[in-house]
Amino acid sequence: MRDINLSLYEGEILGIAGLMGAGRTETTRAIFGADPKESGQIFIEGEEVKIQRPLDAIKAGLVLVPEDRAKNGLCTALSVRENIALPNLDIIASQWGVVNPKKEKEIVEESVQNFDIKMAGVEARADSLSGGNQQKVIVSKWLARNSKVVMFDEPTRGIDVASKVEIYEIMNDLKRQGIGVLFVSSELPEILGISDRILVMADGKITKELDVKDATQDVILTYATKFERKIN
Amino acid sequence: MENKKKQGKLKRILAKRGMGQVITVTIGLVALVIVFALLNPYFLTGRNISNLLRQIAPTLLTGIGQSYVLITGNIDLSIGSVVGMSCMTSATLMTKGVNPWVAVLITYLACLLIGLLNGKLISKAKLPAFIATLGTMTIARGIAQIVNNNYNTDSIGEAAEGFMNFFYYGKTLGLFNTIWITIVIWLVFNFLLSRTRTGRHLYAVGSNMHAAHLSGVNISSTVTKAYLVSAFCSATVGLITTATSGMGTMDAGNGYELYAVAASVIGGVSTLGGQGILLGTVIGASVWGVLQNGLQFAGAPVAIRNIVIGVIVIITVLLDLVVRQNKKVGTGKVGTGKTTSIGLKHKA
Repeated sequence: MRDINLSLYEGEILGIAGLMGAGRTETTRAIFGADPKESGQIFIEGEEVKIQRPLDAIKAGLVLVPEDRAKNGLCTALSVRENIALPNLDIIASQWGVVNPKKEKEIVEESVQNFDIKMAGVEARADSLSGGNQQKVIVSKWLARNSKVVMFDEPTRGIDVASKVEIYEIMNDLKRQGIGVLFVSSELPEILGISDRILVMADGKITKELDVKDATQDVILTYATKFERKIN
Repeated sequence: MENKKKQGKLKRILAKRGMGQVITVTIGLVALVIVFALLNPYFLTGRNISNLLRQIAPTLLTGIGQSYVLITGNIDLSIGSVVGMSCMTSATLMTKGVNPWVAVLITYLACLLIGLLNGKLISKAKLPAFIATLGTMTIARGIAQIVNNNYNTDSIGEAAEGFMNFFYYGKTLGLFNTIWITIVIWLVFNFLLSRTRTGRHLYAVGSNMHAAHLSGVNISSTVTKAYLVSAFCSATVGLITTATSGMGTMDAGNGYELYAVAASVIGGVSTLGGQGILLGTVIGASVWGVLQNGLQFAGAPVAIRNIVIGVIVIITVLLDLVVRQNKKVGTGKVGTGKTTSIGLKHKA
């Protein structure tokens, strides 16, 4: 993966389309600092931020809702409360690192209400929730802090239709709040339906930038398979 | 309404992580105590209880360290050797005329280095915990042997009387100092585990390392902290051992890592990581201690005691695995069942 250059505006949903293995997940992980990168610059609101590890990204207001909820998104054996609190402990805990249960309760309950997370209670294990509600827990933990950019990597995979619609609504909500949304998906209809702009990736490179008005499934597929066609 | 609130509170306490097993094991512990008390009228005398508590202390201390490490999803096999290293280092220094408290300080630093090495080998060099700590286990035992040229030390002498009283023989407010030390260390580490950011990170890393990493948790420093706590606890037990016998013995602490595992898992700390509380470790160490002490009273030889403890550890770990597996199948199958309970909650 190299020479990736992208800009994302506030209040915009930028879709990233492409086939499996096109390097979309790697791109989001590299931006987030999850995997080491050789070089690269990231600017947020015009200021350069150095991101070496996820904590740097989180502090800069750049967050990731990763692919594969159970593997990367949630501490499945821990409670919903602990999962939402985890990346927000800098707010919840005192400067000595002591957790303030009252503050924690406030933040967690607000998150649960904002996203209408359905569960037996905040003490329920994260893996006892439905896929859609698990996804909402992940999104809510990031929005409990003032995140400016939210990257979604295949957020609707393996969840039911009603929850999918809710995820779309959440993304549109974020857009209205002026948050930049980056949306990676393999499903062309949803990426066409929700994005403002679409980047198409193939073999670790961006092969085309499309305005949603000019994008159709055929056009996207053409650029998503560009590399392979060259070989033929 | 008031009643409902009360019920909710009770439910919340019960639902607290690992509380279920702690309660079950506590019932088992009480049963054991009753059986041994019926078998032997001296079992429940003040003197035996006091001795029993002092006997439990080393297992509980090493158990606290092992619990920390297990919660991060790792294991520490170097515990027993670090106890031996601490015992030999401190005793050797004292017989060479070093001030006992300076010796204590040097001993702690040396043992913490082993903890640091464990943590970095596992989190940075990505060695499996089992292999890394097996290596440091041998290294620490080697250090225990080499510090005094392959001999146990002579008596640490009268200059170390204050040290011996502080760690073992002295009493404060009617309780042996060893017990006070254990209580203080337990309180500190229990607070750290249950009420602080570091504690949350330990559980998160043990539950799902990838998710913890993507939530901004520093995996390496969290795992290293757990091993440092373990090394600190083991070092303390080594010092207690030196104070007890008044000399350094090279094979001190032999097998303690397994007693520490026993105390942890009997008390509900899962070997799979992310679960358990230090209250459980207290109960687990007590079960271990009562069994040792009670069987000793009943005239069982050491060999039998070892076999009993081993069997109990295997059974508890097996139960833990079975219960966890069932839970997983359960949540997978009854996804819709959960939704019904949510419907009810919404109405209320």
